[in-house]
Amino acid sequence: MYGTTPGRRLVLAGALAAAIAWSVWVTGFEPSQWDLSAVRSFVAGMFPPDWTVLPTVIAEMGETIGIAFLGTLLAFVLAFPLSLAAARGLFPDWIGGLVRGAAAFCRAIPEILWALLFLVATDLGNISGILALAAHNVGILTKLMAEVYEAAPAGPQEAVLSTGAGRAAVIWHGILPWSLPHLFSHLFFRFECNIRTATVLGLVGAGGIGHLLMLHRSLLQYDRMLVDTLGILVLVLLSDALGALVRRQVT
Amino acid sequence: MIELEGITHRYREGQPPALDGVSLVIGAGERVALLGPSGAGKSTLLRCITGLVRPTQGVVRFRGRPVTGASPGELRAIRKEIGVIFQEYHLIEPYTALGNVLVGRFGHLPLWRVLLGLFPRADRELARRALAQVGLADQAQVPVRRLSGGQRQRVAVARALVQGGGVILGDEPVSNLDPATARMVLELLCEGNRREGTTLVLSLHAPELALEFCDRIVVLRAGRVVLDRPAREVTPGDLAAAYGLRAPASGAPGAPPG
Ligand SMILES: Nc1ncnc2c1ncn2[C@@H]1O[C@H](COP(=O)(O)OP(=O)(O)OP(=O)(O)O)[C@@H](O)[C@H]1O
Ligand SMILES: [Mg+2]
Repeated sequence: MYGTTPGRRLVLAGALAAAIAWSVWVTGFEPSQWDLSAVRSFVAGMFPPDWTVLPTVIAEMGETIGIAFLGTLLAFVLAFPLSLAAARGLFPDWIGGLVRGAAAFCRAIPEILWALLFLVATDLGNISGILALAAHNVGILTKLMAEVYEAAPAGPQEAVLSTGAGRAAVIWHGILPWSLPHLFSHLFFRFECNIRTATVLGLVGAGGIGHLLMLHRSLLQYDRMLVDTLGILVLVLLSDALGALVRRQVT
Repeated sequence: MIELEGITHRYREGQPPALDGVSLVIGAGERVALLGPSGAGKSTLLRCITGLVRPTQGVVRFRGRPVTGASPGELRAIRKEIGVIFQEYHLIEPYTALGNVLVGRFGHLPLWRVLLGLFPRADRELARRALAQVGLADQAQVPVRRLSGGQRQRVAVARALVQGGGVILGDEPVSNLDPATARMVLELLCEGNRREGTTLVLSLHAPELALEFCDRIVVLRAGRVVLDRPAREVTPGDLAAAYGLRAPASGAPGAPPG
């Protein structure tokens, strides 16, 4: 921005104004048209919150954490061998290319789309949530973990190799000891993200607290929705705190 | 035992070669010192012998078997017989000193033992003895990242010792040690040479140590062998000439700078 001429700044401002005008036109974003009475009745419906649903909310929060945990774990178990195959320099190039391609495909599809696919296929909320998280995250973790191995220092690998040991020993003793803290830090970060994602997946029917929120919304029970929302807030704050704690331990 | 035939190696096309037509035959039980200024190609030469570097041209043979072009299985069998002390040690940082020394036994053990880290008692004792020999008996259980530079170097020496392959390639194995400890380590390597006939190829920066502990001096300069002579026949003037310096006027030994 700095150092541009007045002429260029004028063009820039014009482009920005045009972009705003076009976006308002296509989205119909017009505050004058808002129906504030609907907002008023919605807010009024939320108070007082109906705390009788609290036990259910807590149970569903637990379910969301469970979905996130199993989804992350499943992704990690699958990504461990896949990431070794995907890392450059360990296995023949064609294997690595194949695995990297498959991983890119898995993470290109958003979790919510995976969840809808699994819901259609299994008709089971929680399982769809777990599988959706696993399917997307196996793609992410495969890539992240392979990058860790590729960054591992060559020295220890050469030392193991030069004793006459084979590839398995080189991976196990030459690469993994250095990589382990980095792998765990990625894993916990994904778990933290997945707790948040799992609440959203519930909104399309894949189990947990999000699912409860959808249910109360469809029944117009806004006083219960407020409790659901507070539950989600607590969950996200908890996962943030957990992530911060783990990162401090690992790094 | 080790035969190098016309070895030329270029790390990058268009750059001057790190090794330029090196031919060398090293017999069993020899103690060869590899000298030469920094960047002369000493490390590259040692790495060619174990197949960590595949030379652009030439043939390397180990006990009559070709190293260049060996299958992965043959290469493993060859590497098992060659203990290497790396210039930068190449230790596994999170492991203890003992754990690092035991890596030297990997080539002799079945895969399940290597992966589970379950070493036979005899191997553990061998590793402990090697640590004691390099003066680190008390540091056996200390993670190597908490050791000093010289202590780490001695762990690397112990790892090569327990491999027991009959050959040790040392890439500046005493570069980080005080004079007394350096002599102790070289004495240890020579003892293996005297008692078991271990072949030693050691790259060194200090000519006086080379003359004292080795029986053959090979000097590399810009990737070529410029001197190859029995140690007792080498004069300070030879070394100065090989390093590309004028013979010192005083004729003092050890004149070439490290
Ligand atoms: N991995 C590498 N990639 C590119 N060039 C390299 C590499 N390793 C070494 N070289 C080059 O090859 C030449 C020989 O290097 P080498 O490490 O064999 O020298 P050296 O005699 O061991 O030196 P020193 O005494 O400093 O250890 C140098 O010019 C160096 O720049
Ligand atoms: Mg070197």
